[in-house]
Amino acid sequence: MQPSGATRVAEFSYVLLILAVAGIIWHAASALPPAPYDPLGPKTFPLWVSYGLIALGLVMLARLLFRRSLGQAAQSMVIGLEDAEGNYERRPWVAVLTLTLAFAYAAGLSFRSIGFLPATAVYLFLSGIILGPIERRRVVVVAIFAVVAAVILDIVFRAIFKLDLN
Amino acid sequence: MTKITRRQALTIAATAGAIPLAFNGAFAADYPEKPVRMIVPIAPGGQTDVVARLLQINIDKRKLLPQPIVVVNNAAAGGTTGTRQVKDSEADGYTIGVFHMGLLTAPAMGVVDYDHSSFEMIGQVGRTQVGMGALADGRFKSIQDVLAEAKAKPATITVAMNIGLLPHFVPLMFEQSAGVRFRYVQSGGGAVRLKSLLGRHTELSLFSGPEFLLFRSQGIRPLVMFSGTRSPELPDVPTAKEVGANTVFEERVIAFAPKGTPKAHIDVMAAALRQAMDDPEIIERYQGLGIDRVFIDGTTLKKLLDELKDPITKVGDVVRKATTDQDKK
Amino acid sequence: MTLAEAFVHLLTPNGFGIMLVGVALGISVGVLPGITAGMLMALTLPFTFHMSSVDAVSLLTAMFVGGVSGGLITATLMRIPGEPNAIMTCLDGYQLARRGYPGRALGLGNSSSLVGGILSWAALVLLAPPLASIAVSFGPFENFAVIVMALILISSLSEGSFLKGLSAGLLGMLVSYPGIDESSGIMRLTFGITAFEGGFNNLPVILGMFAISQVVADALNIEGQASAIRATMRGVFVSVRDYIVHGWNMLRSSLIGIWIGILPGVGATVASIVAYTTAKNLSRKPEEFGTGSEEAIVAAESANNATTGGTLIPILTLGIPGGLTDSILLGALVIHNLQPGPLLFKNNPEIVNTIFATHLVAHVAMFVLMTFGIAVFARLMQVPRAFILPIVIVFSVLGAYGLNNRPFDIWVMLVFGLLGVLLELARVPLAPFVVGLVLAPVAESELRAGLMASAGSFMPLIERPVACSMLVIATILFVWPFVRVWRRLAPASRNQTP
Repeated sequence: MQPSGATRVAEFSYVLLILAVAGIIWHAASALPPAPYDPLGPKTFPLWVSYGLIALGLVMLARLLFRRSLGQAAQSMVIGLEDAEGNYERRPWVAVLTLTLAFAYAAGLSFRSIGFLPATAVYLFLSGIILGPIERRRVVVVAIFAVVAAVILDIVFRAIFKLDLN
Repeated sequence: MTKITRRQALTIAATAGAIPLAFNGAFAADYPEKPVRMIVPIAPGGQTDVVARLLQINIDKRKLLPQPIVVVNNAAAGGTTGTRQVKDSEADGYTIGVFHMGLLTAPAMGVVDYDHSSFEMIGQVGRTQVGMGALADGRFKSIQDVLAEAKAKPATITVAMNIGLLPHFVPLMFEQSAGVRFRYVQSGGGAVRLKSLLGRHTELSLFSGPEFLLFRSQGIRPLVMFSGTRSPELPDVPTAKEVGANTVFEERVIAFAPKGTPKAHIDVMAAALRQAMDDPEIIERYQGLGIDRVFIDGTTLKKLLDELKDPITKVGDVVRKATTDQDKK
Repeated sequence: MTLAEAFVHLLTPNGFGIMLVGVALGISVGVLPGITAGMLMALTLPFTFHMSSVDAVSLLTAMFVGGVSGGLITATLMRIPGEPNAIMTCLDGYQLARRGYPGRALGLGNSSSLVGGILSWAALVLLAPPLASIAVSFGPFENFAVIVMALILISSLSEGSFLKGLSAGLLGMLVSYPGIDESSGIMRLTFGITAFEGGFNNLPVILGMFAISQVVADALNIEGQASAIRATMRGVFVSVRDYIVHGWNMLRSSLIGIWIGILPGVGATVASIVAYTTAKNLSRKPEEFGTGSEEAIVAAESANNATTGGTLIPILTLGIPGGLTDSILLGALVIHNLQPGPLLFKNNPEIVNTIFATHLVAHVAMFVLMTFGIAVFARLMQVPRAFILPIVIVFSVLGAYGLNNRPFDIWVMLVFGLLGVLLELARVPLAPFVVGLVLAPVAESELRAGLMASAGSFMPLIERPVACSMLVIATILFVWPFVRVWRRLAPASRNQTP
């Protein structure tokens, strides 16, 4: 079964990624000092694993370039992404936005001036909006949900459990 | 426009100057005005964490401070992330840390580039004696046996340790002062080292006084203690000094704050901690844990740590030398 | 207080109430992705100081049990593991649910959890001392050999794409290395970034790769969610026949879970993975694994509940915690002036018996609550994704942060979420990554500790009988798949040659 174009691109990116990571680790690990008491030291394991990963990466790269298959995960956990079933439109932008909003939320939380409550409420609201059709009535419902949920979470985790959320 | 006389000007200046001073004093009296964060660079449940929490509960319960203390654990990177967090926090008195001698050993290991002088010391809130022990039915019946064997066959007796912390450093100090060499094996915390001894995977290890009392029923015999005088709970165990090795070192629980925290705030916190330690309930708990209820104020503590830094740095150098020796193999 | 009295105490309103609250909270937290039972217990710790030690211990044990089990629900209905140990259930539970049998998947998982819990309870109560001494006799070389065995066993997880699976495993290993090197105290691979000094913690990484990536996948498919899973709860009640059919699997997986629970530093996640792969290797229909195999669900769920009894053994007999959750239980004991070890059994039998009794009763309560919880949760699935998905993210953020109270963990989680999406797109299996991530540091520290003791000699690996035999088994396991392939090919070629 020939994998789709998207999969091919992803496979390429993956292989390049592992080669890059393994290369960086190889470089950094080679410079590590030995340990005081054991012969292997902190460098041995990372070094050998990165050797292995580089070797695998090169083999996979070669196979990709020769248009050979890399096999698929037998248990495909990718149902959501590549399901042929159902006649609905995929929404890649929604997916990208979802992830971006999550990052923005984390960034917002790291500014101590933005409290947990407002950051969460805003995040829940924005995420809720993009994950569905934009209708007036729905916007109101999402807003209410966002505020209520944020308040509850704030009470439970900050006031009751005293989690240090600034 | 009326001219202001010199006297009037001075009076105005003095009053103007006094206002911030008055405010400062008033702020000190109001501190803390919001909850204080107590960072404990240890996983929840560890002995130092237990001590920190006991004190925190007591302070909150008896309202020794107008605001509560919130214990925050950050055990990452052997506690160095937590101490760094304290170091980099605002020096406004609303972040403090509670840790053990790992604060001194980490810089000696070269894991961090700062030491205890990067902090203001609030005080010592607890102390335990430490010593070395072995399996009661192992081949060593006394510390003299150990030293004799170690001299005859250097680097053969295995010591279970926790690298970079007291269970590693104190045996090394003992090594140096006794003129012998052991073989060090990484294990972990007290219970893990106990397991190592019980399984006969190693022969010696450092334990605290309370741990010895606890592990006695499991078959661990203390061979030597690194205290100034014999411990009252373990009267049959000689001190290192008695056998000719001048190693005296204790584990301490210390509270500290970021450098630059106003002295007024430090004093308030120290007073609260001291008051908590005097509570009969805390006295009982400390006894149950086997911790010496010895408070040392910040200034004295700093001097003490400055002195203790020296032997620790020497040990750190020994470890580094062992590293280069390993390199040459 | 004897064991019988401890059971009776759990029937009093006070005892029962505390246990029930603990289990309910534990399950709720187990269901919610991000927040783990460990975090719940850590947050509850301050409250336990005001309780009697018996109540405190009962509450925490009940939370512990509930937490391990709850992950099943979100794993099956949303393919998001509520707890890391539910990763394997995500694979087959979700598939079975999609095929139209969510009730069956949940029912089987729940029953397996119960059986795993009961068997581990039996081991705990009846065999704690001998099992503890076996664990004590396991030194660094033995532990290393066991882990090598687990690693090789798990290589069969990459069937379908050996290259991808193995590369994922090695990548997982590399992710585990930055930070303080446990065996030498040396900081490594931090590239001068102080935030890296704490390393990449397992929880944020796993949360990211599974929960975050799944949320992104769901966002992609937001239009198609309506038909996702029809909430029929038919089949939730498992028949006696099912117990018989799956009995052997349950027993074997529970034993794996118990044993891995006793071992230091490994944990329920790996236990469920090992049980899964063992079941797959011994199954008559291995090709079903990953598409909704019942055996898979049974194996994973029995094993992860069985670890609860296993981990309690070293905690109670030696005071050695297996992981974060255990160290909190330990801390609670210490704060209440109770030191684990044989003295605990002698001086405070009521504590030990309370833990024993709570462990069993909590499992039964868990079973009942989960059955109801399934119905409730199935209803919750009707809530629009637009609300559920962002909430999942918020909980994940809280869970990641709550681990060490540092924002860095949140970033780690999100970045690995991105990585998880990439791996999914490239059809790279995620389970080997987790295995590499979790097992690599343990294998390394055990081997190097052993070498420290043996002055650099690898000979104990051959000289020590237990270590040697396990390495032999590992070698056989490694060679077996190749032998199997060879045997399948050989007769064919024999038939062809005249």
